Amino acid sequence: MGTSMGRVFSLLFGIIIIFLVLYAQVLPGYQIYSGIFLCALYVAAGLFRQNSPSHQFTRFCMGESAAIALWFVSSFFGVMIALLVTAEFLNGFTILKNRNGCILFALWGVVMCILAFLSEEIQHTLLPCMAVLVLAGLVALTLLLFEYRMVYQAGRDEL
Amino acid sequence: MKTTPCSHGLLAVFLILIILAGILDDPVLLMAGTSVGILLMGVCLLFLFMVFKTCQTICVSWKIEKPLIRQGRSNAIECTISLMVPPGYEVRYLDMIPAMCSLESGENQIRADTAGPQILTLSYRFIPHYHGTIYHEGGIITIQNLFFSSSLPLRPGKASAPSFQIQPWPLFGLVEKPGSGKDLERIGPVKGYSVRQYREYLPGDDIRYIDWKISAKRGTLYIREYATPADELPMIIVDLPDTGQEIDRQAFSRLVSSLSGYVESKLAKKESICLMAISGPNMSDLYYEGYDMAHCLAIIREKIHPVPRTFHLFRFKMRSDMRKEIYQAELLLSRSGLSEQTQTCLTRIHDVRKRHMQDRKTTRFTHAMNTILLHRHFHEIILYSLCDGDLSHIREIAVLAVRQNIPFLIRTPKRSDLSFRIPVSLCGEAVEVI
Repeated sequence: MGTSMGRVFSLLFGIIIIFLVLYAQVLPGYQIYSGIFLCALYVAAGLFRQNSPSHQFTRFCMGESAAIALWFVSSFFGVMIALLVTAEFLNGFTILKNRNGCILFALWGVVMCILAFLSEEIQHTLLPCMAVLVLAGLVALTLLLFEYRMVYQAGRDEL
Repeated sequence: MKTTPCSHGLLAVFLILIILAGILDDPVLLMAGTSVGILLMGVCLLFLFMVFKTCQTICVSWKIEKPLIRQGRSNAIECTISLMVPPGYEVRYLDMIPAMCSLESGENQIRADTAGPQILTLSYRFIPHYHGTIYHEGGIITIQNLFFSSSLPLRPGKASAPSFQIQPWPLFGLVEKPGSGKDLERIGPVKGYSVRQYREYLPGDDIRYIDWKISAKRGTLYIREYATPADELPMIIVDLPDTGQEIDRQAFSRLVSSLSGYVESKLAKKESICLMAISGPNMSDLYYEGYDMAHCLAIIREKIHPVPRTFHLFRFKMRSDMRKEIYQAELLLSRSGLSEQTQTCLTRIHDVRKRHMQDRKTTRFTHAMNTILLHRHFHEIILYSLCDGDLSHIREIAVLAVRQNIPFLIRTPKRSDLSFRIPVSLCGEAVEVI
């Protein structure tokens, strides 16, 4: 499954790169060139197929940087690349192999689209950055508390 | 919950993007960072959900080999755990060794990384060092994927917790009543010492020595061959090091090679040997007598390893030494012309040692060794030991050997870390460095 999915992702990336090249011919700009270059690098890195988590994480970082570069051109391109990169990353980590993983990815995709829409509206980022960090801390704390409760409950439960 | 390098990486990407967004005042970076952060949290939530679901499928059962054992003897636990492993996850289970016990052999942990319903079985042997009732405390299950890992305790119910009782086996006291054959059997190494081997009946054999049980089982007549005091076997004793102590592995392997070489050379000449193992003042189960080379070498390969020691004889004063001190004090006190101070000192020594003699009994180890040496006449005793730490037990054997007039030889490997130390004879016996 991993190999066939990898081929699908490579094909999709190939189509996107061709599309981006055509787009760059119409509306040239350094950001789209860097985006195309990073996308090509991402695909090339995938050709040296290694199943190590570090290799997959490196590819994810390359893909994310391509997504950011293209997000400067158009949020549609950015979101699309980010979705593809994340799907391949999660698939490589066997998270998309179960129903819950697919639901998680779908929800994350929806949130990405909302964020892409919101990014058009935001003028200054200082306060949103603070808010994101505080929210992230609160969510992390909640998750840790949930985990602690689960461990505590498991310790109390008798088999 | 523990994080892995993959989740560290995602967290680093999230923080870098958010900080850059704050510095460069760029909403694109902010949104990209937020999306990575949400992804990480989603993965974490999914992980916790899967852990929760996996925990609900877990069923563990423990089976203890013997419900009642003696202190210092080994017992076994078999643990069966059934669970559903989600795809992409790995499950490791660590069974906690019962309190006051040490692992003897086997593995107390197991892992499963194949998705689907799994039944894992592990078994291991352990040695209890204290007496009483011990309840098994369960184990720890660790569920992990490539981003997170979480460990949960699995405890048996108080009512259904597997337990076992350990009978005390004190260091001091008698191991047998004189003239009681059954008690002699309990000593351990001398179990069945009087029968050397069984063989098929040959014309002319004494029919009184026919073993009817074995003969009935095999369909032909079998004769018990008794070991007699005229055997003149060499007694080889191996002093196994303590597992809880740091040992020189090279020196120990040299000791084992030397032992194997000696045993091979003896058995190649069809000469019988008697091989037994001790570990400090603890008697081991290993006891071999015969001339089967393959069997003997297999025993050496399997059983000559460091073992946990239940008892130690740190700075142990032997009863014979105390008796000697009392005798010397009495002898000196009987002489005239001693100063008052010397007399007081000698009287004090005499009284203290007398009291010690009343309080302290002979160790079971000494009793067992004494029994073996009294009932058999060994040609010589060769003790293989690292001569590390307390040597009181070796001294006990040396004294017994001197008393029985049996030549006693200690063979100890040359130690790289103790090159300055010269092996010292404990009781006038020969010490050979191998």
